[in-house]
Amino acid sequence: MAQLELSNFSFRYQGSQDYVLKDINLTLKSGQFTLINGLDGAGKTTLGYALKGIIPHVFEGTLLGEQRLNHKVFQEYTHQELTKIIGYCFQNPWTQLSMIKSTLEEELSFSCENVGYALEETRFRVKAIVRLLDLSHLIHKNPIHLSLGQLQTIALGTILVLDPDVLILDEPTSQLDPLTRRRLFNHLSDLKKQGKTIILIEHNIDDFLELVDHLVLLEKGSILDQGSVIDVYTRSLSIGRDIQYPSLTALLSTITSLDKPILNDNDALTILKGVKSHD
Amino acid sequence: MFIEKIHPHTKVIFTMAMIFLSVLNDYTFSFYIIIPIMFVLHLINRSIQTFITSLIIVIPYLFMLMLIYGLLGELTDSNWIVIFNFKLNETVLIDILNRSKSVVVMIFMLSTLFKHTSSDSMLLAFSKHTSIKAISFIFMNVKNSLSHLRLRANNILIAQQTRGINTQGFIITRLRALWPMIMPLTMSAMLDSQERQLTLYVRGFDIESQRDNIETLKKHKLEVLFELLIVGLVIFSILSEVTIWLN
Repeated sequence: MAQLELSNFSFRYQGSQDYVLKDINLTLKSGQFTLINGLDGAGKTTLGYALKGIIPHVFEGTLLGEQRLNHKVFQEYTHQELTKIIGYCFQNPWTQLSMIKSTLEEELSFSCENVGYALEETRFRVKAIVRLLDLSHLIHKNPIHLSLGQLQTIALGTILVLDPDVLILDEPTSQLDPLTRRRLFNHLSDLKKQGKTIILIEHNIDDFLELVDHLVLLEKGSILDQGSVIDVYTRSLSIGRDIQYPSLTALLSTITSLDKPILNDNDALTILKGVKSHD
Repeated sequence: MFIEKIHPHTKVIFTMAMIFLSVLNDYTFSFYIIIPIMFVLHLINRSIQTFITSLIIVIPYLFMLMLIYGLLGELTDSNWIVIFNFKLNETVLIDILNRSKSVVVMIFMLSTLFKHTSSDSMLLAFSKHTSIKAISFIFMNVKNSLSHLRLRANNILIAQQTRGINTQGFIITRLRALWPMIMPLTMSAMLDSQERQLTLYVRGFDIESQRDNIETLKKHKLEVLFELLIVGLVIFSILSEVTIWLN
């Protein structure tokens, strides 16, 4: 179980005048499913990097504030510890591959080898992930020759094999078809039930709303609002905030005024019946 | 195909040793011993294509040297060939062979090494050595990424064609079409590289730890013996050269 915090966190990349993240205060509780949403350029990916520790270790710049994991600052952890506790899955599954392994089994074992697990431990973990993600029919195939949907699942597997307590996914559905998105939803649902802290950076909010405990809206590097899905969207609707709403809410708000978000078909039908009877 | 099955350490030691010995010894060692050995090896391995490929690189190189030395050499009574200003005699030929011996051996040895060693076995063999690990990773990653890059280049080509850029026809037309293809390909490859760097960080590639790899590469006793023989041969050659020099 792990809790991530950013306190008064601001960051600008080296050579840049503007801060990409400004005064971020965020507490992501253990076992919570958080969705980070915002327009392009809002700073979602940079926030993901900050939560993983990629900033400042890989990207140099001006950093203000603190990053904490389980109430300890990141600097108190070794790179090995952070790698084991916080996993990060990138948008492009191609770049998640090492490109030096010739079978799926070897690819999945790569992360375990790097953190220094013994051979038996690695084999055990790889077997568990193959079973969890239903990849046994691909175990001896070269990952380079697999489809994008399969690669996305494998990309998730390369991180899950370390059994991290925190999982950060950066727009994992951007290149997936609806069926594969559904499969990803099921995997994330299972992980949530296991008590993992999941942070999802995503535009396709409709697919995952039913899993979300905490919603964070970003705009121009600052947190516009955060809280439960209902609370955040209700507040946004009440002030007419121009943000990306769930599809049903966005659609129905064009035909009637809404004071709370509509997140499922039943609620949508109720509203529509109300509109029809009014007519 | 037995060359592929030899441990990468053994192949690298053999390659480096032969290149080093070609520097120490005169051209007869390179041209009369190493190259015939490589020919026989490839014949047994049924990979004569690799030998021929190396030959295709070496022959023009030797001809080029012959041309340069032939044109710049002095006119003597013992010239075999004299055409306009081009002169060739035994002394010039031996000089060319001595100057090119190491380069020729390097071409044959390195093409054999990289053509007949898989990227993952090379990386696995050197994964225990931290400083070499990163270099071998970059090399192997580039090698494996080439097919992916080719596919992407093809997609970019099709995309440019749909934008009305003519990619067929005379060489000038094709060269003009190259620029709008190279830039997107280079940019996307650079972006991919950056993200792969992040992936390696996230997957703990730079963690200093003892690695227990799932793939195993065992070295046969004969390979160990062969390595010792090769190293012994190199030491013997060095000592011989030192002795000759001291005398």
